[in-house]
Amino acid sequence: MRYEAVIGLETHVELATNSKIFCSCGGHSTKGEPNTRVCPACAGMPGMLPVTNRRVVELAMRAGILLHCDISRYTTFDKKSYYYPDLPCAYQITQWFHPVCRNGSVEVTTKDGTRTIGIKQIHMEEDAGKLVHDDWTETTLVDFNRTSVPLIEIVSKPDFRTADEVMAYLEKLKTMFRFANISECEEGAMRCDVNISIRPEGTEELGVRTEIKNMSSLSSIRRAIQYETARHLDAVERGTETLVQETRRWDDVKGRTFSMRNKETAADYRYFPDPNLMPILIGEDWIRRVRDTMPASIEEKTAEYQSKGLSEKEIASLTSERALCDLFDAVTAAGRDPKEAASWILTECGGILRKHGQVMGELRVAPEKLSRIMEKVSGNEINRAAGRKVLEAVLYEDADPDAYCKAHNLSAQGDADAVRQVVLKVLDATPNAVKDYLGGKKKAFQALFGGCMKELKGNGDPQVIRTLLEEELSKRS
Amino acid sequence: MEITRETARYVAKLSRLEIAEEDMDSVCQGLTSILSYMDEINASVDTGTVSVTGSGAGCPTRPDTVAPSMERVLLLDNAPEHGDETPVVPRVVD
Repeated sequence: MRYEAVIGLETHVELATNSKIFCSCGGHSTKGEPNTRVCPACAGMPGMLPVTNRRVVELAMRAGILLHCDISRYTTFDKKSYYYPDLPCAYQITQWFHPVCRNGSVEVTTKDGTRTIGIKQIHMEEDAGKLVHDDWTETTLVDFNRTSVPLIEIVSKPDFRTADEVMAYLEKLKTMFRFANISECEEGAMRCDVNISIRPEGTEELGVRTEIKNMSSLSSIRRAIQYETARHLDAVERGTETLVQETRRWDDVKGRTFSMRNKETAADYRYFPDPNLMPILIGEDWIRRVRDTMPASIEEKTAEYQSKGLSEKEIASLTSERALCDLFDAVTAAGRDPKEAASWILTECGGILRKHGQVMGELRVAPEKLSRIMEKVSGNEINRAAGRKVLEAVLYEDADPDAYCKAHNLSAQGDADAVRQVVLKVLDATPNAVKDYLGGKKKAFQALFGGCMKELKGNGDPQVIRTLLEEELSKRS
Repeated sequence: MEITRETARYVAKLSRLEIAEEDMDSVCQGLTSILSYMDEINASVDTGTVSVTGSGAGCPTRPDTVAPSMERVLLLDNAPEHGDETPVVPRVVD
């Protein structure tokens, strides 16, 4: 009998806000010294009340729009009660009864084809603090900087069948959310709980489900899915153990899952509406404003760049980072040719960054400076090689393109009159080479050409030099 | 709904409360009478036409701006045990 894995994901994504979800402390979970981004509200001190960050709701709506969800017109925050040192109030504010988005979908593509993954819901919630375990003293240190950092949890339907599909889904979410400025999706900003069971192929009834909690590394998630699928198969086919519905944790070093302590069930969390937070009413106007102010999606940008004649590879590279698209758009808005703009950003900037050990995501260049360099090259003021030099100076010395060209005498090599002066100077200084060339020794031309290029410090336009050299030599014949 | 001793013990464990055995009967009676009273209220009051949001204005929200956090020492002073930077608790590994 053949079995198939049935996998569902609960993906927690940290939102790119300035402040936390229910207070005005700084929102980024990895910044700041321990316990320096904490106030009485997020520290759970008695009497402090939460006030919802409007931007959190809007980013959650944005995620819902991208994942083709229905946006709830009435959404509530609810308390989930349990005790743990990273939860100062002894409850987490989340959404149980009326999540902000429901019933969406996203397509994922692997080498085996494309599958539509259903999205059951997206809900908003606050993160908990961070615990650091000290093995020497058998104590745990608590950092509350992360408490109340805003998260959205994307709950998928159990539509995945392979680890490849899960990887493709997570990569797609990361790219979409970074592109839409919903989340920076840095290390640790996206964490997953994986629910996995197996069943005979062609059947509908779900098997015993285990949950693997709190994984953030894509490679760990893949290995955990592969391990757990194999464990389930062994149990069912060879009776190695009896599967029970439970929560497990993945040990990356040992390469296996372990059963965790008995977790509370949903009833044990005693979900009830948070009496301190009124329901949020989302009207059509608000949804329309969120939709209208959303950055263009990757699909929209892809279509736009296709219409501008960019190749599939160029489009894929530009849309890998929102900042690259913004740079491309600014440079083309200034009048530069789209294909040339793509070439300068991806090939020239990319080459210089690689030379300095950097990647495209680290590119920082003022669009007007890049545009000016392109203008100089396309206007034959300087050649492309010189343009590259100017670009490197702009990237690493904050140079001004015009000032740099002037200081390094780069503009002369595009100016035909200036180049002619250099040609005449070289011809006058090397009468023997001129005599050899006029006597039929064509190789002498290369020596004269090299002399001109040396005078122009390697920045001369080869075609211009050749043409003027031929012209002046013919006058001396 | 009657609250049994088993239910009371279970809920007490979830709440990290200790109920002495001699108090168990009165706790069960008290919780049962509270829930019975809620049953009476639910049966006699129709809230179907009442808006949950009261004025209908919905949840007040705030802009996404950062305000200064509190001094770390104030947090640490409220912890039974602490180091220089963090509260310290007995080791807990989930």
